[in-house]
Amino acid sequence: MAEFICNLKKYRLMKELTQDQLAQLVGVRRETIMRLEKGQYNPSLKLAIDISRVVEAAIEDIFVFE
Amino acid sequence: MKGDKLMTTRRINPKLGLLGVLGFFGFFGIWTYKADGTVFPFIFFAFFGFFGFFFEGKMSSTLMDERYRENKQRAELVSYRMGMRLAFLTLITSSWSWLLPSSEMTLIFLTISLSLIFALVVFLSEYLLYCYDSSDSGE
Repeated sequence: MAEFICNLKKYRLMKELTQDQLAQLVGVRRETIMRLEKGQYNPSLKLAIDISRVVEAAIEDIFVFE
Repeated sequence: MKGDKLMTTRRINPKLGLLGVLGFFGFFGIWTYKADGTVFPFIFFAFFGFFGFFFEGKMSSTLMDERYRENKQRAELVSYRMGMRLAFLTLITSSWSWLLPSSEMTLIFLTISLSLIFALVVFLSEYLLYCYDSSDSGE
């Protein structure tokens, strides 16, 4: 799995969303959002785009690949 | 995003995993073979795969999001790959006439082996899916 830094938690909190709320908005489970935030899961392009639209941040700002 | 309709896994009681105990009926084949040469009961070893219902039950009503589908594919790939390798080994072994001196022994060996391989594949695919999906370490 490609290593990356995930800044999702920061942007999620800026939008005042819980993991569960964000998960429901993008159609995944809360556990998936949790693992995304820990950098333990590599999202699909569609999921990454959906997340970026919800938190209103650029994908490359949310997911930073080294 | 909004239009996607995701399904959830079916609801299964984890206690259904106890059906795996039916696999022990396979040992009756030893008795029936001695009695009248019947090898059919050895097929019951395949029921050991039902122990996988325990792990499928623990995953009941789980939203089948992309991470679930990826984990399921990965679990099935590992299980099927292992099953194919074991089936191949079984094939090679069954062809060794010095190891299995008669056709009947070969039939029994194949019946037991393929039943157990089937059970292993079924069980492993559910067990690994549960492990992958619930592990806290990196995937």
